[in-house]
Amino acid sequence: MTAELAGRAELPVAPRRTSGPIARLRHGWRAYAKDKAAVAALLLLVVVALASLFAPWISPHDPVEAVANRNAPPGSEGLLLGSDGDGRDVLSRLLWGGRVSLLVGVLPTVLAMLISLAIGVVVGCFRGWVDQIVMRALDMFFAFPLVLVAIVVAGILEPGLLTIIVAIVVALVPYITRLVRTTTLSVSGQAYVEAARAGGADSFAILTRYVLPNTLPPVIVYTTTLIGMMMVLGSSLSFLGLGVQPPTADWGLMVAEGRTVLKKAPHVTLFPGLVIIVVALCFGFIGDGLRDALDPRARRR
Amino acid sequence: MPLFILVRLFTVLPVLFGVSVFVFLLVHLAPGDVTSTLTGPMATPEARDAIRVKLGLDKPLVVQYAIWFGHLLEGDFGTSWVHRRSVIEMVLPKFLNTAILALSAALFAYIIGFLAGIFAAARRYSVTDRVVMGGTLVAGSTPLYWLGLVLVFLFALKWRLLPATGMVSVVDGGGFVDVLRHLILPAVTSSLPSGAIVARTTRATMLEVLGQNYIRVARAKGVPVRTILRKHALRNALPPIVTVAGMELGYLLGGVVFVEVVFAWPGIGNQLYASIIGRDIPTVQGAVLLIAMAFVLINLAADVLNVYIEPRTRAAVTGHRP
Repeated sequence: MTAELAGRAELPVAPRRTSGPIARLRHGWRAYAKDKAAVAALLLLVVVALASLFAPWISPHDPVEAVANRNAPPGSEGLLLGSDGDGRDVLSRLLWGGRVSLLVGVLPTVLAMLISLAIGVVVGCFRGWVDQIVMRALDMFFAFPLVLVAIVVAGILEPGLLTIIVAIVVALVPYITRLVRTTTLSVSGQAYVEAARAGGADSFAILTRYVLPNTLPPVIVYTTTLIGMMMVLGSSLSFLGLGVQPPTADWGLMVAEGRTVLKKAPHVTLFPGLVIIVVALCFGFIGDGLRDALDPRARRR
Repeated sequence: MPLFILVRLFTVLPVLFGVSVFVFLLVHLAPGDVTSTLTGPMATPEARDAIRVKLGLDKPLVVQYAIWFGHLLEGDFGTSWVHRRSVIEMVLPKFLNTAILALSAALFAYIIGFLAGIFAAARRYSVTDRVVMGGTLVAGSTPLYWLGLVLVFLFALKWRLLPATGMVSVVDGGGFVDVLRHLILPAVTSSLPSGAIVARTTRATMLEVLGQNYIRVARAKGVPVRTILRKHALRNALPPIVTVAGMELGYLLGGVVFVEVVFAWPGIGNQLYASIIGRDIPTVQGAVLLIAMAFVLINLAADVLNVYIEPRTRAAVTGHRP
C-alpha cells in the first residue's frame, strides 16, 4: 500500500522514471544531442582523454628525457610541436601531461560533489541546529575568493598531486554544499514528498527515493561546469610550483617551464595553454548540454 | 544611518570572526615542525622548544587564539619569520599596489564588458553577438598566468612596446606615465574573466529588459532604438549589472595572485606567494587576512550600493518593507 501510494505521488513530477532507466537515458541523450556544440565537445574530450590514457603507447618520445636540441621550433628535428628548454618533446609531454591535468580537473570536483551531497542533503533534510552550525562554518569560506582558499591550502601543505586535489576539494565543498542544501530544501518542501510522508514512507526512503534523485540533476550540471575551471585552477597551482613537481609532465607546469625560455621558444609556453583552454571549453559546453538533458526547467540564457 | 546598512554591517562581524579563526588555524595545518623556518634543520630539540615557548606555541589552542586575536585588534599582525619585521608594515604598502592593479583591471573590465554586452544585446544573434559571447566563453577558460606570458612575449619581448615586469623602471622610474606603462599588461590580463562576466550579465539583463512591455510600448510609439536603449532599457538593466560588477572586484583579488607573480608586480599576491615558498607563516596569515577583509568589505559595499540603486532589495536585507 505504502509503495503504491509513493509510486503514485511520484508520477506527476517525474513521469520519465516510469519508463525505465534505458528509456530515460535515451530521452536524456536526445535532449543533449540537440546541442551540437555539446556533442562536438564531448567527442573532442573523448579524443583528448583517450590520447592521454594511451600516452605510454602513442607518444612519439619519452616525456622526461631529452630527445633533441633545446628549444627546437615546431616541425624541426622531426618533432611536430618542437622541443622545450631541456630538449624534451613538447607533443609527448602534452600527451602525458593530459593524464595529470584531466585528473586534477575531474577527480577533486567529483570528490567535492560527493562530500557536498552528503553534507547538503543531511543538513537540508534535518535542518535545525545541525544545519545552522554547518552553514555558518561554511560561511567562513565565502569570505575568501575561491582561488585564494585553494592557493593557501595548497601553499601550507607539502607540494604534490595530492595537495592540489585536497586544496580544490576544500575550496569547492562550501559552494557545492550551498547548492545541494537549497535544492534539498526546495525539493523536500514539494507536495510529492509530503504525500510520501503522509503515505507512511520513512525518512530513509524519502531521502533516497525522492529527495536525492531530484537534487542530483542541478548538482551534476553545476559540478560539470566547474570541472573546466578547476582544471585551470589546478594547472595554476602547478604553475606556481605548489602542485605537481618536475620532471612530471603537467600542462600548468609546462607553461611554467616555458616561461624561462619565453623569448627563444614561445611555442613551449603557447601549446599547453591552448590545450588547457580547449579542454576547459569542452567541459563548459558539456555542462550546457547536460543542463538541457538533466535539468530542463533551468532555462539557458 | 539607514537600518539596512546597520543590519548588513552586523552580519559582517561573525564573518570576520570566522576569517580570523581560519587564518589562525593555518599555522596548525602546516605539516611538520613549523619552527624549522626559524631554527633551521640542524637545531637541537632544546632550541626548538625554546622557540616554541617564545612564540607561545606551547599554550592551549584557545589561549593562543585569544592572544593572537588581541594583538590583531591592536593592529599587530605579528612579526615576519623571514624578514624579522612587523608583518603589517610589510604587507600594507603591498596591498596599496594590489589595489592600484585591481581597481585598474576592474575599471577596464567594466568598460569593455559593459560595451560588449550592450552591443551583443542590441544585435541579438548577429555576428557581433556570437563573437562577443564566444569571446566570453574563451575568456572564462583562459589561465591568467598563461595569458600574461603570451602578452609579455608579444608586447614586451617581440614588439618592445611595454615593460614586462615590475611596477617602476629601475632608471628614472616612478613617474605617473612610468607606472601606467607597467600597469597596462597586468591590468588587462587580470581584467579578462571579470570583463567576460560583466559582458554576459549586461547582455542577459538587457535582453530581459528589452522583452518587457514598456519597451514594446516605447517602440510602438515610435521612439528611436537608440533612445530606447539609453533611456528605457539601460536604466532598468543597471542594478543586476552593478551587483555583479561589485562582486567581480572582490574576485579580482583572487586571480590577481597569479598575475602579480607573472608580472612581478609588487603587490600582496606576490608577497603571499613569496611567503608561502619561504614558509613565513605570520606573513601568509597577514596577507590572507588583509585580502579576506578587503573581499568582505567590497561585497558589503556592493550590497549597500545595490540597495541605493534598487530600493526594492532593501526588504530582502532587513526583512521589512522600506
